[in-house]
Amino acid sequence: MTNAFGGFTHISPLSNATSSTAHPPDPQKALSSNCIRDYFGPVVQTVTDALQSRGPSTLQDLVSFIRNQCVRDWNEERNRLIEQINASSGKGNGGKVTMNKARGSEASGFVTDASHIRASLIVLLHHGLVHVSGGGSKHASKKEPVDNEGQKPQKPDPTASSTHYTYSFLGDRARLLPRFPRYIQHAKSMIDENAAHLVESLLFNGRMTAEDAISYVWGNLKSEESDDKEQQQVLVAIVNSFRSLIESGYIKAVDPIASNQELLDQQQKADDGINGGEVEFELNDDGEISAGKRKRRSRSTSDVSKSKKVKVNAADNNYGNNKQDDEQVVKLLSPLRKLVPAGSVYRANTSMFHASIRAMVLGRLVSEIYGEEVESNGKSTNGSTNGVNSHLNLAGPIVTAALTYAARQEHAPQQLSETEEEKHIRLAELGIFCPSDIVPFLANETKQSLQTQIGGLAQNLTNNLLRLSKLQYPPIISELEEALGHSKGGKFEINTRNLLARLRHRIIHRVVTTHQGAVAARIINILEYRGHCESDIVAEDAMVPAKEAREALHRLHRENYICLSDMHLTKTHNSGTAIYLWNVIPSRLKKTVINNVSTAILNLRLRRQHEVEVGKDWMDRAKDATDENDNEEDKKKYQAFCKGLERLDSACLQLDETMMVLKDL
Amino acid sequence: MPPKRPPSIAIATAATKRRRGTAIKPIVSMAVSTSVGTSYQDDDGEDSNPLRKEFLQLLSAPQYKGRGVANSALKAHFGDKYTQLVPIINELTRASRLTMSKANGENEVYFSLLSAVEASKMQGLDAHSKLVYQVIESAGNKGIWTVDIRVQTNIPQATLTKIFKQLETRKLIKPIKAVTAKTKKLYMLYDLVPAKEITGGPWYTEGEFDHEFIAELRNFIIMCVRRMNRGKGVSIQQISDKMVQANVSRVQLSLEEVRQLVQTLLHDYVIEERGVTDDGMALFVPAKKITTMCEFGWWDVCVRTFILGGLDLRMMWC
Repeated sequence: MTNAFGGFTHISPLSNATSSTAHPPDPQKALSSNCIRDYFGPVVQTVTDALQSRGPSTLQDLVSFIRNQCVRDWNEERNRLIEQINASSGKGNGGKVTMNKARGSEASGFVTDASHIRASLIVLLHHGLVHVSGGGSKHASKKEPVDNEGQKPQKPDPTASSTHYTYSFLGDRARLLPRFPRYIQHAKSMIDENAAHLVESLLFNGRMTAEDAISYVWGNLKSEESDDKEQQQVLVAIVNSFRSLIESGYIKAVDPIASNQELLDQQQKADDGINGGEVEFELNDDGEISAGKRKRRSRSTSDVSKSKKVKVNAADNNYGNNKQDDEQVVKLLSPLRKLVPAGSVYRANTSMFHASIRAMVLGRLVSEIYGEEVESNGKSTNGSTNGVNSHLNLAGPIVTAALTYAARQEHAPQQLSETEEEKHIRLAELGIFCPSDIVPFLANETKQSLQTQIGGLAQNLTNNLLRLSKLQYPPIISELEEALGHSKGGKFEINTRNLLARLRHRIIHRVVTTHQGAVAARIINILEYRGHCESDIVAEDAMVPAKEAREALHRLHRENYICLSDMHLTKTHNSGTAIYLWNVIPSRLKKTVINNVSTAILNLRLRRQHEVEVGKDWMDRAKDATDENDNEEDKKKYQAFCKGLERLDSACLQLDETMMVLKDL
Repeated sequence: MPPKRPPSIAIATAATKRRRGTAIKPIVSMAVSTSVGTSYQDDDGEDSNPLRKEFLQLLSAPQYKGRGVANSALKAHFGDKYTQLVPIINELTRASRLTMSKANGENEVYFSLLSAVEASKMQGLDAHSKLVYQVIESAGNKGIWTVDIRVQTNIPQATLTKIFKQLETRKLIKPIKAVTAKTKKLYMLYDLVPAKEITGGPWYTEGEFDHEFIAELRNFIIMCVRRMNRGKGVSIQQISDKMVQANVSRVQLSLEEVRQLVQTLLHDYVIEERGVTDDGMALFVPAKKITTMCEFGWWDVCVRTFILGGLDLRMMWC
């Protein structure tokens, strides 16, 4: 089969070990790899693929593995020639001549320079896509090592040959990269537009200090035409949004990754080891790894390492560019130092975003299941809804409020005065709420609706919760402690797992129907309901001819949706007497659907990347935005091109939301 | 108009009803010696032999209809006169009025009386034909493949074919095609109604799966669920009664068959269960539409966007 993308490069030299070109293919790994390439470039993709194929590795192992794949064969004669050229040209005649030892270009992901690999690893660390573990000596215990004289414990020396840091790639986090627009939009809907800008800056940069993030957004939002007062108001609004984001749990503080300069300063001062694990070995100018001597990387003469150094220290350099802004930011943050400690580093908390989105999704699901009954049953002659069924209309908003409260309980930073016991109680009662707990999270219309009814907000909310707890098709709320006589109006819990399972089941049914047909989807439901069945029983229940049922079963089996087991009545295999039973393993079915969705997302992304590459000329011309391009035909093609990209983006977002419900919520 | 279902085959009369469930081992007619020369009258004429009359009355007794009279019962009934039955039995056997059979696992021989009509059909059949007939009779309403008949009777195929033709002409047996194996021939007695496993039940018409009939029934059930009781829910019994009332099907559908149809709609998420009646029967309502995120179809992206260089976007799902 010819390459449909002819000339378009989308994989790294190590992709054949992990991605969709491998056998058996792993679509989720391939998707993670493609997302990394799209956002960080081909070199980072190479490092990612190496980590995915090798598993947890040290930097040394990683560099040698990548070099094995990327380096080309070169002979000593050529090396001697280059040395002669360098020697004869002398030091004053420009830079040294170096030989390109890679098999291909950097644009294709071929990398041999260890500093490039290290820089890629730092980028992945910065964006929280790599997990670091280890840091101790190979032979020592996990506790801080104590030297032989029994004096104060020394931190491990990363340049020592016995110190190992192991890096593991977090593929699931990489898969979230295309979901950033969703998070930004969610922050805008939950808080405000400034919060959306803040989340965008944090997602784009990986992690930032509070001052950097606020300054960055303020720099983008303030206009030259506005006066100082307006700019100050904007800044105050941004700081308030930042505070709301922290209090809601949408962003969280993380341990900062120490920069090289900080590390070296620490080394010079105390000589007590390295924080952050960034310096594990030293590199010479040729990128050769050696242990033992400590090298001052900041004074390196290598251009490459300088450029990477700039990239790594970008956050540090940007900070403090505009001293006046920073002072204003610092001044506004000073009353909030308990919540926002000085110099604290923040990143977007994707778990909280998922929990919050889950609240909205399940609230919508409940509204769709029960909400319409009000219209069909409760519409009176004057058009107002019947009070008897009004609780069904509020089911969705109540579920959303309760789950939002549970998400805040789990992710928002708690009171500093919380004791250990209180913390245990909070964690044990995660998801359990009293009516008064969810009042702050109810929508204004819902609050108004409850307040206007006789009894007041609290009483009506409790009554509604009691009525909703009696619904069984499906059950949505469980009453854990009886409301009657309860000081807080009772304790309730949302049947989150049940609702989520129901939604996932419907999604899987729809995906299978789209891909394999209605009969196949029906057969899967029958097998889930009945367990192990012969094909004749399946045909009878599905009300299709036996031949059609058998064909559907084999097709589903080939696609890995269902399983086949056989029972032999004799010791030797005899297909004439064996009993063949079909069944569905839910986890396997879900994994197959997720893999198919991953494949679809990957193919759409590849298609989009290819179209962008092909239509690059159009896009460049459009950037200039002149009227030179009066060609109508060209304009139409460009519009069609943009529309196509838009539809591809829409399709990717929808598929990503499907993936989110199946895997991340 | 509802699809016309073929009229059900008339059930055979009680006197000629075949036994079901009992695997009967075929026996070739026994050669019974007669020690007493006796002349007999046939049934139409006056019967001068009281023993014969008594024997015929016994065979016609209601308690022996179906399976017949056991040999031991005959001995017990006639006592010393049992040996005098031998020529009577021979005569009746020659006239094809009497059949003998043995149940599986039993050594007991059973004697059954055939009607005159049946006897006329069986008259003139040789031993092989009668053997084939008995083998087919033993299969009951499930029928038997020609291969199995050949194995059990050990008769060559050419002879068997002639026998089949002869028996079909006399309307003693009929060929049936099973829905599970349309190329194979199945034989059963002429008057029997084939079992549901063979015909496929009401869902098959002339051996073919009747998609249209099932689709019409499903649509009817969907309408019932939507319109009856103002959409608050209907039970299977109510649906079944409505189907009878509306005369949707000429074939009477049992409650189990209606439940089967409703189950397929449940599995397709067209209807869903929402509550129970006072009797504990499930109530069904139209299923609510749920947003499942992935609402677009790959064909939307394929058709409405663009195809560049002949590339088909259906590869998205490949």
